[in-house]
Amino acid sequence: MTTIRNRPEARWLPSRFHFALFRLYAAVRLYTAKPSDILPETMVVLAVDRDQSLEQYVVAVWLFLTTTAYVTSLLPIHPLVALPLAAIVSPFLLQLPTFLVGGVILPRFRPNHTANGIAVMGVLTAASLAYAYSHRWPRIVAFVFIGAMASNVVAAGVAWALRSRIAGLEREYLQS
Amino acid sequence: MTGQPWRRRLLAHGVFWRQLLRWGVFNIPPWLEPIAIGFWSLLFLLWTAGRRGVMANLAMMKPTSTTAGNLFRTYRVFWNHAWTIADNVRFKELRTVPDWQFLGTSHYEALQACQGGAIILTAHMGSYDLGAQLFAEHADRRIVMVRAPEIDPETRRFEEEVKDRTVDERLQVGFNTQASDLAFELLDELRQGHIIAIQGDRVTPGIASMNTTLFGKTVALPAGPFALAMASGVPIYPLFVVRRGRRRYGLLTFEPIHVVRRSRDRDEDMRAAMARWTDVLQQVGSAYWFQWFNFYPYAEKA
Repeated sequence: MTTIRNRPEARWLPSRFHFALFRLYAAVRLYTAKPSDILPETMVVLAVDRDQSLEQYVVAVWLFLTTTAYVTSLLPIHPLVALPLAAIVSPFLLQLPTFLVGGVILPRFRPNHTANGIAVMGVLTAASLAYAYSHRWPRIVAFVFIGAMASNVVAAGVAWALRSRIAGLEREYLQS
Repeated sequence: MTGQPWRRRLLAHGVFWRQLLRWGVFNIPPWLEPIAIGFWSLLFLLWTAGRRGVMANLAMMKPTSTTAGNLFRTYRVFWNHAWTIADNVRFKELRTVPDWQFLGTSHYEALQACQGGAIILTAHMGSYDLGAQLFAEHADRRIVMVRAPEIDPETRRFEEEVKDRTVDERLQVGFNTQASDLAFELLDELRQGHIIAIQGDRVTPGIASMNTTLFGKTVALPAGPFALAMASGVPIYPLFVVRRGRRRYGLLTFEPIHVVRRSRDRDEDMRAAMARWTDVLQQVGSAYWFQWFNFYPYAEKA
C-alpha cells in the first residue's frame, strides 16, 4: 500500500475517498490546500486507500437515519415510541443483506465488500422508491436518498471527465 | 477430545466472536462498519464481568463520575476496542494499513537505532497487536511479544492458526504462563539484540509483581520487565499505540527508563523504575481512558 510521509494535507487525496461526490469535494480541498507544518517530535504517515477517510461515517449515519425513518413508519405504534425501537433494530436490519450474500451465497472468507455493498444499497434503493411513490411521511427521506444517489452518479461522470486533472493533482504527492 | 459445546463458543472469550469478526472484515462494506461496530459493541455491554470491570476502573480513575456517566463511557471503551481489534484483523487478512502519527519521534528513532536489545513496555491500550506487527515489518531484528494465552482453548487454536498464516516471521509471541522458563528465553533474546514487547499494566496469575500506586490506588504491576532490564542492561521504552480516529493511530514513545543497580537493595532500584513507568502509564491512561482495554478491576476498591 502506498503511504505519504509528513504531508498532512494529503489527507484530501481523492484516492482516499470512496464515493464520487466525496472524491470531487476532496479534489477541490486538495487543490486549495496549503502545506501544513509538522510539529516537532512528530511524524505523520498517511495511507492511500479509498476507504481511509471519515466519509464512511457520514454515509453510515445517513443510512442509519434513513433506515430508522423507514422502520419507524412501519411500526404500528406511536412514532415517539417507535423511534427508539427502530433506532435499535435498524443497524441489525442494515446488516441482514450481508448475512445472506456474504454468509450464504458467496464464500465467507473472501473480500465480498462490493457484492454486499450492492445488496445493501439495492435494498435501500428499492425501499426508497417504494416510499417515494407512497403518501407516508418518509417520502421526504426517500427523495433525499434517491437525490443523493443520483447526485453521486452525476459526480462520477464529472470525476471521470476530470480524471486527468485529478491524477495530475495527486501525482505530486504520490511521487514525493 | 470431544468438540466444544456450542454455548462455550458464545461466551465473551469464545471463538464465535473471533470468527464473526473475521467474517465481518471480509464482508461488511466500509461505509457500513460504523453501524455494525456500534451495534455489536452495544450487544457486548451484556457481558457483565467486562462491563463491571471497566466501570470499576472508570470509577477509580474518575472519582467524581456518576454510574450513568460511566455506563456511557464504558460503551465508548467497548466501541474503541471493537474498532482496534477489527483494524488488527483487517491488517492481518487484507494488509490494510491505517494512518499513523508518531509522537516522540526522537525516542522512537533511538529505539530503532539502538545496537543492543530493548524492551518495549506498553499497556492494554489501543492496538498493541497492530503496533507490534508494523514495528516488526520495519525493524531489522526480531520482536518477541509477550502476552497471556487465550483463556478458551478453541479460541487459542483459532488465533494460532491466524498467526501462522498472517503474521510476519520476525514477530514471535511468547506466552507468560511459566514465568521462570520464559524469563531465560527473553534474557537470551535481549542479549542477542532483539526487542521484547510486554504489556505492563496487568498481572496474571504466576507472574512476579511489585506494588505501586496508580490513580491513587495500590496496584500490583509486572516486575518482570524491570528485572529483565536490570539483568540485561537494556533500556525500557514506554510505548503506546492509541487509536486517534477511524483508521488513524498514534504511536507515542516516551523517554527510556534505565534500570540501574545503584544500591544493595535490588527491589528499591526496581521500584524507582516502576514509579517512572507508573507515572507514564497514568499520564497516558488519563488522556486515553477510553482505550484502556482492561476488563478487570485494576485495583481493589477502597
